[in-house]
Parts: sequence; C-alpha cells; structure tokens
Amino acid sequence: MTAVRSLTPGLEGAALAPMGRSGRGHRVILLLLMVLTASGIGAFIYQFSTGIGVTGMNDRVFWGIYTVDLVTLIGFSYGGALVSAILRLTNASWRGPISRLAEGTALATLAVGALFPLASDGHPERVWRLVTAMQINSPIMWDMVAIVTYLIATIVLFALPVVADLGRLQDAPGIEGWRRRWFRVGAFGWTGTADQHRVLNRSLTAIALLIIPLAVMVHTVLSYAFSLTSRPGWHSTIFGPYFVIAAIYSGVALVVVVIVVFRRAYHLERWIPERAIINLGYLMAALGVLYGYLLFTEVTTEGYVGAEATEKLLYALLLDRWSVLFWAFVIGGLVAPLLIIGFRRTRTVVGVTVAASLVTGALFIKRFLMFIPPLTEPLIGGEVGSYTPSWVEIVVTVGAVAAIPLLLVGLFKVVPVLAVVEMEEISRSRGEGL
Amino acid sequence: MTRFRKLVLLIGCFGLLMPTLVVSAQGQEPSPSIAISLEISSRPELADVIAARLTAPDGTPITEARIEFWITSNLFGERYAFVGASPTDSSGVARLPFVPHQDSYDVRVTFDGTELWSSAETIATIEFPSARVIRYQPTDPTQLGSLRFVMPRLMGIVVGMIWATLFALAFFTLRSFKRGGKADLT
Repeated sequence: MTAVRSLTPGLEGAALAPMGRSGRGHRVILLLLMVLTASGIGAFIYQFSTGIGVTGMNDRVFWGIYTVDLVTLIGFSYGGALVSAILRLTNASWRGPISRLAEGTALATLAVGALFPLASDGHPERVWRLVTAMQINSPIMWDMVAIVTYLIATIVLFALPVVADLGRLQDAPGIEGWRRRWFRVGAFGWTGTADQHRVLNRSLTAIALLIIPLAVMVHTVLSYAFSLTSRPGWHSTIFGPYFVIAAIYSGVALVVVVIVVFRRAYHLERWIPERAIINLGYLMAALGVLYGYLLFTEVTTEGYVGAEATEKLLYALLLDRWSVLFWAFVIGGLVAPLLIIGFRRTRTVVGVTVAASLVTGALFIKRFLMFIPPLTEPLIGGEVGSYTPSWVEIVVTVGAVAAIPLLLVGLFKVVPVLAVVEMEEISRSRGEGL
Repeated sequence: MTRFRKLVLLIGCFGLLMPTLVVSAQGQEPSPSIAISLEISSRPELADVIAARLTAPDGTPITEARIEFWITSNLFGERYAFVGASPTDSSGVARLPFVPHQDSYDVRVTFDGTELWSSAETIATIEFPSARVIRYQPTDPTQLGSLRFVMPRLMGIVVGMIWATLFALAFFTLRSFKRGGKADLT
C-alpha cells in the first residue's frame, strides 16, 4: 500500500476533489439545476393530478416526447456501461481515469430514464399491475424486465470498484466525520491485499462480459416495442441493431461531455489525459460511420421498394414536413462530428467536446423523428395527425435532463470521482508511476 | 313549551327536512327504460348491430339521447370496457355496429340522463349466431404458435439466471473482501 501511494502523489486529492466545498460558480449552477429538477417534478405532479390530457399526446400520436426521453436516456446509459466494459475486456490502459465517470453517467441516466414509462402513463399509480396482471407476451412488459435487469448490472459494475476505492481512501486526508464512517462501512473490509485485487478483477471481468449482451438485449427489446407493430416506419428488421448502435453512439458522446465537464470543473487535467478524450472521439467517429451506414440502408431499401405508406413517410421526412429536423440531424449528428474528428487541426479536447455535444443533441432529434412522424401517418385513412409537446412535457423533460448532472454531482460527493485502485493497478502493470 | 320555542323547533325541523325535500324533488324526473336487441345484418360483409331502444314510461321513444355501450372485458381485471356511443334516432333507437369474436357478450347500455329524464341502464346477454362470429384463428401449435408459449417462459428463466448471477457475484465478492479475499472466488 505504501509503495503504491508513493507512486500516486496527488491522486487521492484529485479523486476526492468533488467532495470539497464548492465555489460560488458551482453553487449557482447547482442551484439552477435544482430549480429545473424541482420544476420538472412539479410539472409531473401537475400532470398526475390533472390527467395526461395536459400533454400534447392525442388519439393519433399516443407516444410523445416522454418516449423519446426514455429511449434517449437509456441509450446514454448504454454508452457509459459499454465504454467501461469493453475497455476493461480489451485491457485498454487509458480506461482507468474515465471508467468511474462513464459508469456514473450510465447509472444516473438509467435511473432518470427508467422513470419515463411512468410519465407516459395515464395512471402511473397502477404500475404495480404490470406485475399482478402481467401479459407475458407483451414487449412492454419485457422492456421493464430488461431495464430493471440492466439497472442491477450497472449498479454492480459501478459499486464493486467503488468498494475497493472506499477502502483505499478511507484514511486519506480530508475524509472525516460521516464521510469517514461511510468509507469504513462501504469498504467491506477492503485492505488492498493481492487476493482482494484478484477477486475484484475476476468479478469485474465477469460483469463486463455479462453487461455487454445485457445492454444489447435491453435496447433490442426496447426496439421491439416499435418494430413488432405493423406501422410503416417502425416495422423494420433493422430496428434492433439500429437502436443498439444509436445507443452506443449517443452514450459515448455523453460520456465525453461528462468527462470534459468534470475534468474542467475539478481540475482533473493531470489525471484524465487528453489522449483518453481523443480516443473516445475516435470511438465515437467509428460509431457515427456505422450509424450513418444503417441510416442509409434503411432509407434506400424502404424507399426503393416504395410501399405507399412508407413512401409517404419518407417523403415527409426527407423533403417535406420533417425535413428541417431530419437534415439538422444528418448534418449535426453525422457529418459535422465526423469532419471535426477527421481533421487533425480540430481533433482536440474542445473539438471532440463540440462533436460529442452535437451528437448528443442530434440523436435526441433522431429519436423524435423515429417515433413521432410514423405515428402521425394515418393507418386506416383520415387526416394526418399532429403532435406538439405541451409546456408540461417540456418542463418534465428539462427537469429530467437537469437531474442527471445533479445526480452525478451528488454521487461524487459520496464516492471518489476517479477509480483510484484501477488506475494504480494499470500503472503497476505498465511499470510506471502515475 | 313557550310559543317561541315551538316556533324555533318547527323552523329547525323544516330546516332539516328541506334538503331531503329538495333532493327528492330533484329526483322526480321520469325514469326511462332501455331495451337491448340484436339486429343481424342481411349482408354477410356488414357488421351486425347492437340496438338499444330508450323509451319514456309511457312507451314513447326518447330521441337524440346519447347511449353508451359497454361489454365485459378481462383486460387488467374483469370490468366493463367502453366500446362506443351513439345518439337515439326518431324511434328512440341507438345503434352500434359490432363484430363479435365470441358467441355471447354481456352488454351494458347506459343513458346518463338529462334535465328531463333521469339516468338509466340495463345489462343483457347478447347471443350471436355462430355463423356471424369471427373467431381468432389460433396459430398452428406445431409451428410458430408453440414458440409463443415457450419463448416468454424461456426468457423468464434466462432473466432469472442473470439476476441470480449478478446477485451472487456481488454477494460473494463483498463477502470475499471481508475475508481478505481468501474465500469463494479466489
């Protein structure tokens, strides 16, 4: 232990940086986030007491922005968990400083995203009937099972290295009072023995192996809620992989944004090297190319066959009612990020962050385009439907988005922001000091 | 008892009786009755019609009254599910085209009442001729239909195993930490 500590001067302090007193700027931002989150909760209570009629959903467009939020947030969580799991399995040495933030992002986005099925329900108080009146053949039921399973796996993936870090840092300077008691209890007797390290690594490898198929399963099942219907624009065999790739793409983008924000806010530049962020940028670019390929395949195959209903939908999407949003997605979510990462001059921390922010926003638009336009097209004749989110839906959505950084800040007030044990282990295995 | 006290008592009794009198006066709108019948379509391609006739106590039809039709359903528990509404015509009949998927239905027909008429409802079992019933075609159990039964249950077992693995991993890892890493998973 002593030898290890000598290799890492300053690491303990950096890992515990968010636990210190916040500056005025931080406090103002936190207050703003709290106000937005509280407004979201208030709007949801208003919707619950008034009825779902206060949303913009209607007979024709029965799933609105809440469904977009659900899929987007669970997609974000997917990227965080997968980045951590894949980098662990491939033994990427640059994973150490980013794994905790990636897993934390996965947990926070999943915790918030999993609440959106409740917001979409007319009677959320009846959610327990999903269990008591279970329809075992319903994709919606399996959605819930998959999300809960994935949540458990993400918690375990996040918690086990945290236990080791709590043990490692329980005697660190600045850990006093309730925090010291928490670190002692949360450490579960971790003292950093070789045997404990071996057990931790085996368990994490097993969970990493498990979480990859689980994450694929969650997003595939989520796609089934749409693709197992006969609605044009939804009923597509490509929907499963389409959802999965979109999820990893947007998830990696959000991880980049979170890492850069925390790196800047808590001065972690020494511990989170530029190389890690640029590498994530490369990963994001590769996923962007893959997603662009899937989009091209979907549009060309469906457009070439030209079934009447599908052709109408594609026309509305590419050239008519929804074209501004669609091309905004293509440029902001695919072309611009690839160009930014493609050129050496713009391939910097700032550039990758801009690209990641564009992807994050553009993928939200893409989910909107995936779900809403197909619902507006009449299945058995009649007028084309319309949907505009009401102020309640917008406030709930903004509140949920604000809750994610708030949860992350809260989380890193009680657990170290850097995976200290993992970073030290990587450093030892490479025979170098941090 | 003084005359004043008698007067107070009388006013008190009247005060107590007033709401009852008002309520009973309000409830004195005439009660109509509803009769349900089935009108079988002469053309096989057209749906049969459930008809509800709303009449005043003297038998005269009540026109332009909204009638709601409900059938028993077992979705999320047994209850009446709303299937449609229709106004009564000049002969007091409201009609709802209905495609049956089983031989008989318990049909509930309701009229919410108006300023002139109090509310009314009736429940009747409607039997459809077997030839008119469009039955759901069960999938051949030897083919994909059998998967519909097996797959969700199989998935349930897989999910159960995943949950058990995750909980076991977490439990044994933490227990192993407590023991200095010398047990279970080493």
